[in-house]
Amino acid sequence: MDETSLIHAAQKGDLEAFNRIVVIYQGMAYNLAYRILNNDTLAEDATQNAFISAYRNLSKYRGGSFRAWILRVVTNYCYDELRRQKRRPTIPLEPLDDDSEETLESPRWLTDDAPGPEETLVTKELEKAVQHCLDRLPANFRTVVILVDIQGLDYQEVSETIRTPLGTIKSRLARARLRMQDCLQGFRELLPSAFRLVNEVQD
Amino acid sequence: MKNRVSPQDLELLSAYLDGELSPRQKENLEQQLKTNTTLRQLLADLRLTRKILRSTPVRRLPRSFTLTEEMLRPKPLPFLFPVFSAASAISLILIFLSFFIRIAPSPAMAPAQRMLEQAAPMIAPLETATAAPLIYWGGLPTMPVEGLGGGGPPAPATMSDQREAEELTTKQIPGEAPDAPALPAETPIDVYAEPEAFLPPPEIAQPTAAPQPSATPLALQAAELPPPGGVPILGIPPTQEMGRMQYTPIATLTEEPPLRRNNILMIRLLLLSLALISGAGAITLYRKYRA
Repeated sequence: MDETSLIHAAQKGDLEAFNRIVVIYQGMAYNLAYRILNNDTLAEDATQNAFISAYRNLSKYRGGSFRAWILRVVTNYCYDELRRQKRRPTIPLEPLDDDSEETLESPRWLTDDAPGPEETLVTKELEKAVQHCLDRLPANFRTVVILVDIQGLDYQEVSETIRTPLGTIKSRLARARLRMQDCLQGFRELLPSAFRLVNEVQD
Repeated sequence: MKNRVSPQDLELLSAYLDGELSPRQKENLEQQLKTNTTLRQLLADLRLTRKILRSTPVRRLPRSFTLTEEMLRPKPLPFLFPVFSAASAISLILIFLSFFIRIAPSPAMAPAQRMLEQAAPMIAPLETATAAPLIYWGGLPTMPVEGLGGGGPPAPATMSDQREAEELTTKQIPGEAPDAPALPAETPIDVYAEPEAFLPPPEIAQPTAAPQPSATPLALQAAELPPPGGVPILGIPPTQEMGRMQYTPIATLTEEPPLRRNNILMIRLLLLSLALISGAGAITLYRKYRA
């Protein structure tokens, strides 16, 4: 059964069909939520709530890119969460990142991620640098960068996802990339050599 | 040589990386890139930045996000929801009804009402100062008063009635003997006779107080008897009352006192505030639990 058939079946109340759509998009939805919120728990909640809301409002889907539609629901939940955080700023009880102070109850060294130690280290350094720079962007710039450069959506889909004109998408993306570039310069020594930003072009 | 890069150039370079330029824009930009090293450097940096972003590892899912019937079951609304809803609805209904129902003044408002009634005649001079009516007095000068507002002495139908009328006349003016006998009932009253004199227009006296109901109507009638030399005509007060204002402000009879109006307005405003606040609370709860 293709995606359109699954959507039609889900619109008629077939939960099984909708869950097959969830399986297709849950990875993308969760990663988008995590990159915007930079918090595992909040990203989980946003993703789950977005899928519940999508199922309840599936009748409002009028065609077009379903991926853009479902990612819009996720993005809206993330923006709601960011607004809530702005109103009621809280201090997380858990460490902000992997290098923060460990607690006896949750030692990081006990967890076992799949890749080897060196690869894990490089990947984590890269991810940490990217996430740090993403967090310094305004939310609407951050979303565009995540959708285009991390999720791989084209400009038109991004425009549908966040309901913003194409020209604004181009402008925000260009400025966001420039800011990311400036920010990542600070992590030059930490990044793998292939990713180091150097002046390659001379006069 | 290095040149400054404009925001437009930056947008073009960014879109060029993603293949989002039109063929013409792409050709123009490529021509510029051949000569402008700053643009070339910026393009290289942007390309590397995009490469880094695209290399960002995908996070593993912590769990599956597939839905169950349990998740889709609507959460029960909190206790406050029906409270807010009912408060909002009742407030709106009360506001609506307040435009149709006149609330009787409470005993607590009685002193305020009396104060208003006493203060009401103070506005009388303002309303009557413009026109002083010329009152024409006619009739027989020695005519005794019999009957108020009747226009003339009624003829007693029977002997008992006549006796009662005589007694009433003597009782009405205690200590003062009637100086003229009552005319026979058959005698017509010449209301068109020439008047003895035109009376000057009455001076408007300052009203002292609002009319108070009397417990002894007979005494009141006696007090209102005109002196000899004047006979009342229907609708015209006796001479003692000339120029004296018998005025009850209409405002005190028909309109709501301002204080009471303000109270009702205040109650409406309070109800409206309650309706808005409780309605907003109900909507917020509904959106939180059901949206």
